[in-house]
Amino acid sequence: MEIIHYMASNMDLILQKTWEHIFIISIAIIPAIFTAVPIGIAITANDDHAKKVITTASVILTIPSLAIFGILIPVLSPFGYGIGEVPAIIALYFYSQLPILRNTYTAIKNVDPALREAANGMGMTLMQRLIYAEIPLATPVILAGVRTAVVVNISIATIASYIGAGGLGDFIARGISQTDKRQLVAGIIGVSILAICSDMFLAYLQKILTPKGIREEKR
Amino acid sequence: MIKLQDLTKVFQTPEGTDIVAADKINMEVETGEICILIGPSGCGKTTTLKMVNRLIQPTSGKIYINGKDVTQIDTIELRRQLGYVIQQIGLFPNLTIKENVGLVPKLLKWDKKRINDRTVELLEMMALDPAVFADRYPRQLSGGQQQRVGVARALAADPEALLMDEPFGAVDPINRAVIQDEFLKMQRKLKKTILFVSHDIDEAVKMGDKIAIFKDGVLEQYDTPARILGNPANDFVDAFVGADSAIKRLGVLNCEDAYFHEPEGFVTRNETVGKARELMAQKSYSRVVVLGKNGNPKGYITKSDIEGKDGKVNDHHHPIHYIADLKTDCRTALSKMLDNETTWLPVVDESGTYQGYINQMGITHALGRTKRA
Ligand SMILES: Nc1ncnc2c1ncn2[C@@H]1O[C@H](COP(=O)(O)OP(=O)(O)OP(=O)(O)O)[C@@H](O)[C@H]1O
Ligand SMILES: [Mg+2]
Repeated sequence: MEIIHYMASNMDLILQKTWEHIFIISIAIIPAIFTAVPIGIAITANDDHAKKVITTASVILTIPSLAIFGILIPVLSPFGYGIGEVPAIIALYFYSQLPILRNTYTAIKNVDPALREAANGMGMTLMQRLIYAEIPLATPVILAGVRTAVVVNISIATIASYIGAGGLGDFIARGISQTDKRQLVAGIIGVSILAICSDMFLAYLQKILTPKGIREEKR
Repeated sequence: MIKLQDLTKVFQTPEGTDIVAADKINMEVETGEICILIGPSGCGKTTTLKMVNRLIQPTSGKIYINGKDVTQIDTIELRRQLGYVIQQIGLFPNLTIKENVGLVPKLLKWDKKRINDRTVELLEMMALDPAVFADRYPRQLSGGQQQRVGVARALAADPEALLMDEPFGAVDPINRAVIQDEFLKMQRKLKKTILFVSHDIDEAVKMGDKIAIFKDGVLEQYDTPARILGNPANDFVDAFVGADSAIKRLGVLNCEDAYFHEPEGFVTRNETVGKARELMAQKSYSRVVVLGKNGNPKGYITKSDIEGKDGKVNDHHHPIHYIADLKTDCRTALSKMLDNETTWLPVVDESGTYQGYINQMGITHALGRTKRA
């Protein structure tokens, strides 16, 4: 009851923090898509490179987020961005690489070799082949990678509150430091709702962006 | 013209053994001809085909198209000139049938209407109703239907030559015959140079101007269907063409090779019996053909039919059930004779004018002649 009351009376603040949360994630994920997808495609040309790149990206994902923030503070301080949104966005950008590029790689690799051969035999260039066949066919799997990246980022962005990036993590951080259950729970609820809503939105996007010719038949 | 010169492909297996998929192949396919590549599975047909459009790099040897070494032609340019039908069909599942067929024209920046007209034309030729199929996706088609779309796609931008890898392999026999006929009709008009892989000797005999028989990467014989069937180069070819090769040869023999030229051996339906009797006596014919209103053979009369009769020939003739023309193959002609319990058929030229008749003896002699040739 107390919590609902708290959330209702602080709705403005909650919405503002939610918006901050969405903002840093979007600013990180959009450029991440534009680098991870091409890298994922590029490494399909060479299995050795693919292994190296995917391993590197996996290693990045295992570094604890606070450690990355810690590394970024001295690196970015000279430019005046040691704390705040910038290091948070940069960290989230790196965390997004693995799920997106791995899914892109797998999806492109899984395109029927007969299609690739037909496309080559028809005299399509690499670009044409990607645009007309491979990327559309890989889209659902690439978007599944984006979904994973977004959900991972929503939780990591919460921690970014400790370096002053704002977002819903602020409620949790303050709730812990002030032992204020209301703020803590409000933050957790906010993050959960945001995660569920983004996942649903991306699932919808994944559905409508899946080429009609390969969608599951409705039964 | 497509010329293969000492074309060789050796694949290395991971275990280190070599597979010779093509062994010093030499052949020339004349412009406007269909050459069928045939042989048991794994004999190198696909490999040979793919070396032509450079999907596979030859180990050694050369390929010339109209005298030009293909390695001197830009790969994309080369492939645009060579329509390609892949053995596994390979339609793009994310594109509709219409979009699949119109893809190369689109890449070549044809305008929309031209692409659309071309797509409709090709689907119709492949016996696929555009109203039904144009907007479907590949997975909504049967394997045979997809295969026909694959052929339409290869033809779309009107390439100079075609490389077709078992293009009708998944099509049912009835539709296959229809499409083969349509395809041959198109070919008579467009005169493309075609390399066509098949594993069906009947298809090879029907479609091929030349047949190339392969075994383990070696070109065993390269010749016209009639000569392959009539003069197999070795035991392998002999066994491959089958014990009924003489029957198959009937398919490549036309009535014009076997018929008896007798262009005066007719009377028209309104002429008198007396006229017919006179003609038979004068030319020592045992029968004459009776031409109907439009000049087509409609029946025949024999000497005994009109013995002591008079009036018009129209009142005394026997019906004719099938009329062959000069281009009808002897297999069809013979089958029609057996069907209609007769030993001969009248033969007309392309304008329908009576030329003579074909009978079983004529066919037998023609087969003998072409065997010795
Ligand atoms: N990429 C490859 N690597 C190794 N060996 C290969 C490769 N491609 C083909 N071969 C081998 O080369 C030989 C010829 O293969 P090819 O595909 O040309 O046969 P084919 O005559 O088309 O057979 P089918 O009628 O079954 O299609 C086979 O023994 C095959 O195993
Ligand atoms: Mg093959």
